[in-house]
Amino acid sequence: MRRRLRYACLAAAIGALAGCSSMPEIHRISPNQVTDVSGYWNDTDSRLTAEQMIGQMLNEPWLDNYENAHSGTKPVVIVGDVNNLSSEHIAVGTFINDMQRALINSGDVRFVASSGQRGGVRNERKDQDLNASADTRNPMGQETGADFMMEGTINTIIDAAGNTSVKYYQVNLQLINMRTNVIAWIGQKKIKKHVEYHGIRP
Amino acid sequence: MDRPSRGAVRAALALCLAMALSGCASYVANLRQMDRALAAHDPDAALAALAPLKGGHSEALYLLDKAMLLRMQGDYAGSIKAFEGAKPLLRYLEATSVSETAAALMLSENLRSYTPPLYERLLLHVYQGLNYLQSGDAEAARVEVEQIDVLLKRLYPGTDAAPHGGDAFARYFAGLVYEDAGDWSDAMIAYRKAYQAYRAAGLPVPPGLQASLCRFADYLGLDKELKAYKQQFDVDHWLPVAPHGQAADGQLVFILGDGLAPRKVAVTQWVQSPKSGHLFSISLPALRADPPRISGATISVGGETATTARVESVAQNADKALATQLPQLTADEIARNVTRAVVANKADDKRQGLGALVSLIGTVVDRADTRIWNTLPDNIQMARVALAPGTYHVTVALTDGGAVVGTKTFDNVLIKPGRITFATWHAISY
Repeated sequence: MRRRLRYACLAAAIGALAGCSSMPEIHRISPNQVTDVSGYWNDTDSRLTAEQMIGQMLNEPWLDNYENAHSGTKPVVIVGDVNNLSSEHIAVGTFINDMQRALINSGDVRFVASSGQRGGVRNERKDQDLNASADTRNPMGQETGADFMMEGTINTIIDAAGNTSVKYYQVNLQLINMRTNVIAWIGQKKIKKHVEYHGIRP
Repeated sequence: MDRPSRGAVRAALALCLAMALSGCASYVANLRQMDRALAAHDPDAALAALAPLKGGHSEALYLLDKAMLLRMQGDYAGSIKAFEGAKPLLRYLEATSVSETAAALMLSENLRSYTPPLYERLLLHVYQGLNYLQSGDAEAARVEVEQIDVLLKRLYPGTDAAPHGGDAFARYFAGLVYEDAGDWSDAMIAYRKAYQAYRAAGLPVPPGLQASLCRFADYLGLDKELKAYKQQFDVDHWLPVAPHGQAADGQLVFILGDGLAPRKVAVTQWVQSPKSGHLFSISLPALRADPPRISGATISVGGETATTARVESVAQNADKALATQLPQLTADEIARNVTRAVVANKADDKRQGLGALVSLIGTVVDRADTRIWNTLPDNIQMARVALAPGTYHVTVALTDGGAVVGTKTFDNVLIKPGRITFATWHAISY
């Protein structure tokens, strides 16, 4: 009887140790799968925002208007400030990069390096001026000027009490004509989430 | 199966007691080691002393202390990571734990996960905001002050204000961040809420806040409000707000963290029943502050001097928070004594004298919860100086009744037009 009890205790101890294993459980899932874990802004929100903005940007008349006025030339856009005015730390660069990729690949819009990116490029060009051979050297003063600057904001309105929160995100993007300051296009994406937190935990 | 012998039961109980005592002793010993390291200006050693406290029911407190110690080392990225790790945990811990509540009501308050009082949660966002500002990310600092607003609105819908105080400086800091971002309506709203919070707490309105209220009430055309502030504060001049992009001067905001927040100690009273020999105890936390010795600080920069004014008393907030918790803690202590008495009586029924041992172990294990975010300063002081754009050498002198007891210099402090530059010093010992 006592021996059986010892074996049972040993088995229970091994089981408990196995339960305490520090190895995480991992499942690969599609990047397009909706995964809402915490209720905060996540990859799904970023992807949905990028998709909607791309659709709006490519299907609205500013693009045709520009091409018609410039003998079919595709507009050049520079990414300006997209300010996060929300109450969450949001990686704005994620959906901006998604947008840039889709728009560049569409062939309808061209992008030039933003102010943050071009510093490194200019330094490299200066370096080429000194160190690169004449036939591979890229000269200064040949950059393409942007026709439009893309700017925007992310805002949140949160209505919360107790364990319930309603989160409303609004992403606004706009294209401003660099020559005239005319706002040529405004894109908007709204996301609303109802988040119910648990009042009881283990 | 044979019943265990009396000796085996006593040995097992003694082992439990020893384990419980050693756990408490090592926790307290680590915190003392951390305090000594901080007093010796050695945040590395303080972090090393903190490391064993990771995990378990004090994980949130561990992250808060770690973030503060990393800030003291100037490791803002590390501090940001630790604070961001604490935030979702604190939200999760708001839910009531059935198992922890049951364990706490039977054995000890220390079996609950550490959940910080409101003033600590707000200071998390303030220090995280400072981390971002000192890393050059003003936009992320703005997110932090938005989170202060969201937290207060969620916890106190309708008033957006903490009923027991602790929110005044957080609101004042929010105003500064909005002002730096050029969001002047938001800045005015935050300054106004800070003013209301200082008044509601019966605290003096800091001179810098008085000037900000007048500046922005003036700029935004809030004439009646401006008149009321001028009368109340006896202020008749302030730095006018320049329209966006036209500001000639910038500002230096110097924030001094003075000393360390009070520690909590357990105050325990024991009574033994002469009839049964059972022990009863009431163990409640009490604050032990080591009052800072400085009366203020003088900032010298670009030919200007300014003195700091107190904007937050962490010690006072800790005092208020404990006062609001004490009735519940006392009721829980009484419940634990009743539970222990029932268990001890049953143990006596099985074997006479065992109940006394059970009650002894129960009372020793049941020590007051003395966890508190002690790496916060005892109080926070602030000075604001308007400066022409440029790079400055800033000297800070800590004073005690006119005598200088410590100095520190900040080199290459960059002032930009229309912007606020934040400089901080957590002076722990001097």
